[in-house]
Order: sequence, then C-alpha cells, then structure tokens
Amino acid sequence: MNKYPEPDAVAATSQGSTKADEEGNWRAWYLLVLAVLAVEIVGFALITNYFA
Amino acid sequence: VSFLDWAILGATLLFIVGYGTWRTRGSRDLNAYLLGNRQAQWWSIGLSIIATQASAITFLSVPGQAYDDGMRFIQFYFGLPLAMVLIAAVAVPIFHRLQVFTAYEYLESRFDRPTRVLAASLFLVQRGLGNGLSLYAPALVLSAILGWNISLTVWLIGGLMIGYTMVGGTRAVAVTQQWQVAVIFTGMVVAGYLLVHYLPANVGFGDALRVAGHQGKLNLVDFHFDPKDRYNFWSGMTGGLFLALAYFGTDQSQVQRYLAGRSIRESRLGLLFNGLVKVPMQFGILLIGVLLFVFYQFNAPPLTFNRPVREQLATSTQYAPALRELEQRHATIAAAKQAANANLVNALHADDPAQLANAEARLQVTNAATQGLRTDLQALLKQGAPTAEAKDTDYIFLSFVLRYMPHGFIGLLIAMVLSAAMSSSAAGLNALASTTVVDIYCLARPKDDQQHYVAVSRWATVLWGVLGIGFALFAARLENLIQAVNILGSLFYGPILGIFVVAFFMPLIRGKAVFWAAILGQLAVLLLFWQTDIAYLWYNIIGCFLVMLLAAIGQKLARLSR
Repeated sequence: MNKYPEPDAVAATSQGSTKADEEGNWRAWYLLVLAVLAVEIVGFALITNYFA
Repeated sequence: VSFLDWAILGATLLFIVGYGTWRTRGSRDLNAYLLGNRQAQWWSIGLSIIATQASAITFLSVPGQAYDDGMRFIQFYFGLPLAMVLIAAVAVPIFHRLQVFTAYEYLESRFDRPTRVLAASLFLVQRGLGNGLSLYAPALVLSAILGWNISLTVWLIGGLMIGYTMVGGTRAVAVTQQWQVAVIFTGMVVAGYLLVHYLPANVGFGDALRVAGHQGKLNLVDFHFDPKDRYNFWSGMTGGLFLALAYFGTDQSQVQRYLAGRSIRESRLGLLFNGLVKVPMQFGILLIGVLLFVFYQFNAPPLTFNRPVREQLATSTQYAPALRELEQRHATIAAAKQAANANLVNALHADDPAQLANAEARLQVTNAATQGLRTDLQALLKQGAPTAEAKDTDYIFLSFVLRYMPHGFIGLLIAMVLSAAMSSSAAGLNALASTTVVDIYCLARPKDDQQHYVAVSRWATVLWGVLGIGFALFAARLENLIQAVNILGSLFYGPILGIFVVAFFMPLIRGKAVFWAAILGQLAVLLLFWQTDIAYLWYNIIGCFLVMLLAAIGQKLARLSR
C-alpha cells in the first residue's frame, strides 16, 4: 500500500490545514516579527539620513 | 599566532567536536539519526537555523563588503523575516502532519514520485557544489593569511565535520551548532569592542559612525528603484524574499532543522526566532566592517590585504620596482588621509562648518588619489599575478585580527571562523545524506531494515563530505566568494521554489505538468544566466514564476487534450 495519502487529499489538506491550528494566537506572533522588521527599516532609514 | 592562540583554538574546536560526538552517539533508526527523534525545542531549532546560514564566508566576506561598499548589503535580508512568517504559517503544518523526513518527500504525496526525485536531485547538485565552496572559502583565506597549507586546512575542517556528523547525525549537528553559535557571538562582540578600543583616544564610537557616514559607509537603506542595482530596499523585499523562501522553505539543510521540532509550535517559534535575530545580527557583522574601515582611516592599511599576492610581486625582479613605487605612493596617501580624518573629527567636535568643509575637501582629494592607486595596482596585478584575485576584501577582517588583536583573542576569532565553517557545512552534509537515502536509496530498496538505512546514511555522509573536500581542493578562484555561493543557489532555487509554490497554492495542478514545468523552467534559467546579465537575485523570482506559469499552461493543455 502507498505510504502517502492520495494527491487530491493532500492538495485539499494543504489548503485547509492552517485554518484548524489556532491561527489567532499565531497571527500575533507574525505581526510582532513584521512590526520589528518595520521598526528596523525605519531606524536604518533614519541612520542613513542622519549620517549622510 | 602564539602558543596561547593555538591552545584556545585547539581546545575550543576539540571540546565542541568531542562533546557533540559523545552526546549524540548510537542512533539506531532513521528517525533518531536524521531528525533526532523529533524532540528539538524552539531555541535549539532557532540556533540551528542561524548557525546553518552563518558560514565562514559570512564572517570573512561581509565585513569586507561593508569596508568597501558600506552597509547597504543589509537590505538583502529585509525579505527574510517575511519569509519566516510565510513558511511558519504555510509549510510547517503540512510538513509536520505528513511526518516527512525531507521536504521533497512531501512532493510525492502532493504530486508523484518523478517530481520528488527531480526536486531532490536539483537540491543534491546545488548543495553538493555549495558545500564544497563553503569549505574552500575559509581554507583559502586562512591559508593566505596564516600561511597554512590550503589542502591541509580543507582536510582539517572537512575531516572534523564529517566525523561528528557521521557519528551523531542531526542531533550532533544541532548540539555542536549551539556551542558554535556561542563562539561566533562571543567572537563578534570581542571584535567589535576591540575595534572601538583601538581607535585614537579622541575618537569615540559616535565619532567613528560620523566619520563612516561622511564617507558614505552608513548607506543602510536606499528606496530608489533601480533593477541594475543589486542591493536596494526593493530588491531586498522581492529578490531577498524569494531567496529566503527558497532557502528556508525548500533547501533540506534548513528544512531538516525545523522538521526535527517536537511540535508545530516549536518549529514555528524556531523560524520566527530566526526572523527576529537575523537582521540585527547581519547589522552587527556589517558594523564590524564599518569599524574596520574607520580604524584604517587612522592607521595605514597595507597596499593589498592579500599577502601572498604581494609576496609574489615583491619577489619578482620584473615587478618588484613597480610594487615599491606603488607602496611609497600608498604610504603618502595614507598619511594624508589620516591627517584629513583627524581634521574631520576636530571639525565635528568644534561643530565648525568651514573647518568641516575643508576636511571634507581634503578627504575627497585623498579618496580620488586612493582610487587612482587602486587602478594602478589592478593593472600591476594583471601583469604580475594574472591568476590572483584582484579584490582583497575577504582578507581584511582576519588581517586585522592577526596584526592588531592581543594573543588569545586571535585563537578565539580563528575558532569563530572555523566554527562557522563547520556549522553550515555539517548541516549541508547532513541534509545531503538524508536526501540521498530518503529520496533516492530508500525508493530503490524499500524493504531493508532501519539499521541498514542508518548505516547507509553514515556512508552517504562520508561520501558527500569527501566529494565536498574534493570540490574544495579543485575549486577555481572566484571573484567574490559569498556572491559565488549566492549565484549558484539562485540558479537552482527559483525552479525548486516554483515546484513548492505550485504544491501549496495551486491545488488543481498535477504531477506531470509541474515535472515538465520544472525541467523547462530550470533550462530557461540556465539559458538566461548564460545569455544575459540579469542580477542573480532576480533568478529566484524568474525561476519560480516560470515554473508556476508553465505548470498552469501544461495542466490546461492536458485538460484540453482529454
């Protein structure tokens, strides 16, 4: 027997899998990472302008 | 290099390798050997991901890049945190639920076996060559600066790394990486502190930044869009994003780090940890390069940091007089530059615009003279040492370490470079062995027992390690080491990423369409690389979109023909 599920089933899983996984909590983490990046870029832009 | 340096270098490396080997010996099945029984916690995954990406090239080329070109290379990493979020949200849950050993194994469940084997093969070619380069790069620089034999250096780094990776598999890689990261961060902090400490008494850290800023080295962000410009905000957020997606989402040397996670939560947190740490870490490494630049504004640098090339010219009866003439000119310019920089600092302290304008004008004159000197040096190198690398930026950091650092710290910083070399190459080796066994060997011999597969994995580790050493020994000199590795990666990453993007986001497309799309996409990328001069970062995007487009067309044609 094939170890893997049918391709159709996997394709369906890959679409729906993230929904079931407490995405609400994770969204806060994702936003934190992106917010830190935004702060870093703004900080770098200020450094670039200040020292230019 | 004194006895104390040798003792610190030897003790650091032997402790890390010995401890890693002892802690992780005796894996009996593939799950233990290749994924450490999936027990890793988020901090261990995060450190492993950081250590896998931070190769010796990072610590040799990146400070040199900042010294030469300023800090704008940081923009290359702006897409990375976003890639971490996307991979954590989309790929991690799928890989975990299917309990796969490799990223490519997922492709068989989503598409078919040929697509899995194709993606695995592209990875093996790309990573096999890349791993050889990661061994060659530090060996080249260490041999040039310390006078070590290049073959022996390659065998030393390669041999130690093969040893512990073969014995302990993925856990050995992770356990050693934790200590290697500790050595790397300690080395960085020590180097940064000593660089500031060695500046003239009246030049503080703030002054150093202002001197660097006045000479265009603090060019961290550039929002102007220019497709020919390799590093600006837009190329970082697009090309950098796609490169990071391909590297962290489809390269087994990284995927294996988070597949070893205890749960989806641990793997996700490990990736997000990398997303938070990477940009500040690169900033720190680039800042070391800028501080090196400032240090050499107040201290005369050598004419070229590539010592063997200088020796080659100095011992030639034909070219030695020209070299002497250039070195005399260089000494005069360096003295004028030191005086101009001292004036600049005084002007900044006095806050006097007239004095500042005068100092800047003098600096412009010395910089123009330096540029002329460089052109003449390159012309001399072309005649007297035509096979030598003209760029010497990869040698700047270690040259400084050897010439100015106190004994003991030299050993620590060489240990840092060797630790970085081993941490990234070991993860690559571990991934090459996993992919060879799981995606190629197990498919050909599916009925053997687990102990047999573990033994084959160990042999595959040795085989790929020896192949990497062989490639490193025969590698030709390349213009810039970090770029060579990135170019190589970008040519293969785009199509591999395309296969995974189709798998995740285009559910109607089947195996046959994506298989042929990947082959045609890869051929098209190689053809474009051969025929055009597109900046290499864009190949990640081009390759990915070509595969998506061709797969969609192929699927449509297949449906129409039915």
